[in-house]
Order: sequence, then structure tokens, then C-alpha cells
Amino acid sequence: MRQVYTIADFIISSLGVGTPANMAQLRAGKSGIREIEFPQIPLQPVYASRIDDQEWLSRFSHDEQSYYTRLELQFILAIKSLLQPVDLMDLSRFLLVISTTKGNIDLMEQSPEKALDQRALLPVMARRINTYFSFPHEAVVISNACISGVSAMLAGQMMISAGHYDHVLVLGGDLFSHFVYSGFNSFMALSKSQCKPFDKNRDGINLGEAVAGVFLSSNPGMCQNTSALAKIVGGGQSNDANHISGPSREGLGLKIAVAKAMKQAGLTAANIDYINAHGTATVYNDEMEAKAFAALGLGEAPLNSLKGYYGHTLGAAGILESVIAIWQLNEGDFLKSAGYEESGTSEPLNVLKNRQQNNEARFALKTASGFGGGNAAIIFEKP
Amino acid sequence: MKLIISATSKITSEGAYQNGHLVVSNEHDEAGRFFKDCYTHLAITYPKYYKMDRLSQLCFLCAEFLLVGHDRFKDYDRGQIAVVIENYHASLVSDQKHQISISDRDNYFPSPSVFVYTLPNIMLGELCIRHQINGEATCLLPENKDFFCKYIRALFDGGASECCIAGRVDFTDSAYGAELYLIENSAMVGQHIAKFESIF
Repeated sequence: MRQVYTIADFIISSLGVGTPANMAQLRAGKSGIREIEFPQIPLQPVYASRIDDQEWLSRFSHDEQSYYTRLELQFILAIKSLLQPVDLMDLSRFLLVISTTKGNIDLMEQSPEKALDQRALLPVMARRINTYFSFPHEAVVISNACISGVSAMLAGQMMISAGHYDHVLVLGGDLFSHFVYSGFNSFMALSKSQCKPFDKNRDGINLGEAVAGVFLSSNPGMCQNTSALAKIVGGGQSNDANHISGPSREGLGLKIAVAKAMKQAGLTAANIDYINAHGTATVYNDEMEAKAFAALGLGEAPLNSLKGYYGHTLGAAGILESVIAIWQLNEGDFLKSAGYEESGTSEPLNVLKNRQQNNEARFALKTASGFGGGNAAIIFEKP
Repeated sequence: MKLIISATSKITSEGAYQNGHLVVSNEHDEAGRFFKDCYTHLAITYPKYYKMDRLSQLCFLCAEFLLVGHDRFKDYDRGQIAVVIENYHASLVSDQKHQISISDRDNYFPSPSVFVYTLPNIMLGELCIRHQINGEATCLLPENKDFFCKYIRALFDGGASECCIAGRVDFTDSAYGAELYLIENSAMVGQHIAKFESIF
């Protein structure tokens, strides 16, 4: 089994293009969530985080803009940026893995009753992106709802570790859409303002839009930015086998996933220096996480959720939040958990109310849970 | 580690098959009526079945045919059983249904019971609930045998799983099909019906 590293990353989000731009905003305490104009939606107000196209769209020609969809262009931009430092790579040992829940769902919105636009199918979208770069291996899409991003990173880790590939580019993204907004609204799961993960007054999620990518490799020598470099030392996935649209009350599945990750890493709870939680700010999710972390002896580990900055970015979330977790770990600088003021879970957690410096921190745990009952955990080590 | 296939099941528009043998032949044009025949044949009572969309029903039925009478499956540690399913059209039929329900802005009442099926991994979640599986449940697209086989082998080799329900399930209004395999470590199993490499 080979050691796998994260060696480069890239983000397009409401907080900017590129990871350094995003980190600068996060450190300044800025959130990308705001009340947005979404005039066709009969439900107001709408709080969400959205990507500003003026920041990146002009990098593409008019031909590219008319041939590729908005999400495809974001994916292509991310891949171009991620491949820059690694252009000497042998592509026969390279794989693209895409994490998304709904892909080009906006195309279906434009013509629900007309013939289906084939690009709305995930494998078609993946093939178009793969063809742009002439990657020799067919891209793989992982669609595990809200845990897709962590699932995709673990798939990449497992395949490199087993020796099937040397490099896997893991890319996650989803659009802000009527489709998803209306669905979450029908679940009464949306917050009426900026979301408040783990807080007493939390009232639901904000939806967010982002594309995030991370380059996984067996060769840490290819890394050109030490803030992006981390060892993946453990991972685990599970299913609650309880309910398709709600978490297990006691966090059964999350406990299994985290325990698997810690076992693979050869660590105990005392070794975990920081937790990047899923923390969607729904009443049930955050309570479930608190119970699982407490049961695992992780109640005292410094913890934050990034949902108060980005909202729930669905297919991007696991990757986006892992990237920010790695940068926090490498810089020994941990963000306050935006939207958190007073504990709102039955089991206490060490939710960061203020920015915290800890240069000794070595291991970071990232978790995700979601629709379909899935849970995923991944552990990073500062190299 | 040597992996083997210890059971198979398949549902096509021709009929339902268990370990290669036809068990229910399709007498209908409409998928829902054929699925009902399969459900009746299985002689089970599972009210959640009626809430599922066609994709999840297809996955559910195929897994029932796979696991009927498979006692050893019940003995595995539930956290060590994985489900890995390939798919091409994701949740297209439910997606279209949800989209139509929200396309009229004056009649904007999407149903949560439709929306929840607009994700392809929900069929795996349903399967985990039915069979109390607590291991990894992963939905991969498109159908790509090379990656699929490597992925499952790595799940076993890395110690993440001791048993895996693996296969393909796809449903659209014009075509459908499901094929599932029970994959186990040969050291745990006295007899098998096929080598892992013969999958699909």
C-alpha cells in the first residue's frame, strides 16, 4: 500500500477564484452567504452563496463559452489550474474523478418537457470534460449526495494506494439551482438567514455554489505549494441504514466511518487536533454529529464548520472543506466557526468561537454525512 | 486475496433471473406491473417499497433475488459489507418529475417524497436499510468495468470490506436493467458460481 498525498488544490467560490483568495477572505471573517436576487422563486428572502462569473468567465473564448456549460467551464478552469505544476506527468497513470450530485441540472430547467439535453446526464458531462484534455482514461463520477466529495477523495486515495494510478485529480462541483432550492425548501430545511452550524438558534442550511479540486499523488516531490501538501492517513465510509432523508439520531453511521478512518490511520481520539465537521446547521444533523463525536471521545477537539462561510456546496463540499482544512492545518491557523455563538447540541463540542493558532496541530479529521444515509471520514496529516 | 461471485441476480425487460435461472418472466409492457409480479413472487411484505421510485424499486427487487436464502450474508459484520453500484442515467425519471412540478411558478409545490429520489445513491440507501448494511455505499457513473473491478478489489485488499453487493442498475421510461453480484473472499466460501473476473 502506497502513501497518498494532496499536492495541489483549487477553488472557485463566492469568496473568489483560487485557494489563496479564499483563505484571505476566510481569515478576514468574510462569509460568501448573502440575500440573493432570485426573482423567479416565489419564496423570499433567499440566502445563498453564489459564484460571481465576472471573476472567471472571461478567461474563456466566445466559442468555448457557447459550447461548454457554465459548470463545465468551471471544471475546465479548475483542471487547467491544477495541471499547471504537474505538466511532466505520465497521463497513462492519471485519472479524473468528478464529485457531483446534479451536474448540468440547469439544462433540464430550461426545457423540462422537451427532449432531454444529453449534457444533463452526468456521464456525458464527464466525457466532455475528459475530451477537452484528451485524458486517456475515462473520467469516473461519484454521486453519493452530500458525502460525494469525501467519497471521491477516498476513491482516489484507494486507487493510488493500490497502485492502479499514480495521480488522481478529484474535482467537485454543483450549481445553485431552482431544482435543488425548491427541493430543500419542500423539506423545510432552509435557513431564513445566514446559517448557524451547531448554534442554539440554528434553523437550517444555506445552499452554496462552488467548484473545488484537489490533486492526489503518490509523489509529494511534485508539490509546489507547501500549504496544499498533506498526507492522507486514513479514511472510512458507512451507511446509517436508517432513513433515506434524515440522519441516524445517534450518529451510528458517522461513528462507524470515523472509527474506520482512525483505525486505518492507527490513531486514537486523543491524536485528532482539529475536526472539520459537516455542520449543515439543520437541527438534526448537528445534533447527530455532536452525539457521534462525543461517543468517539472527540468532544474536546477544536472543531469548525465552513457552512457559515460557503453554505452547503453539495458535490463540492467535501473537497472544498478538505482543502480549507489542510490549509488551516499547515498554517497552524484555525478559523472561527461562522454563525456560532452558543452551544445548541445535547453533547458539548469545542466549536471555535474565535480564530485559534496552534502550530503543533498534526492530524485533521474531515467528516460528511448526507441523503441516502451515507457518512464519510478522512484524516490528513501535516507532513 | 482471491475474490469470487457467490450469487447473481438480474432483471431485464425479459424477466427476473436468480443465479442465471429465469424466475419471473415479464408479461407486461409497463415496468411497474412487471415489478409488481416480481414483488408478489418474492412473497415479502415491505411497505416502503410502494414509496420508492422505479429506479429504487428495480434495485430493491434485484437485491431481494440476490440475497434470498443466502444465510452466510446475514453473518457478516454489517459495517464490513459494501454496496457499489454503477449507473448511467442517474435519477433521470424522478428528476424530470420534480422539474415538471416546479416549472410552473404559479403552482410551485414540489413534493419532498419525489425530491428525495432525485439522487442516484438513494437506491443504495434503500438497499442498506432493507438489509441493515452499515458499510460503504457508493454510486459510480458511467458503467466502466475496468474501474469498477479495480475499485471493488481495492475495497477488499485495503480491509474496508469483507463482502460486497456490486452491480449495475439503470432505469429510464424506455429501457431498464439491473444486474447484481454478491462478491466474497474465496477463503470464506466453500463453493462459488463464478470467478470475480467474469462479472458482467
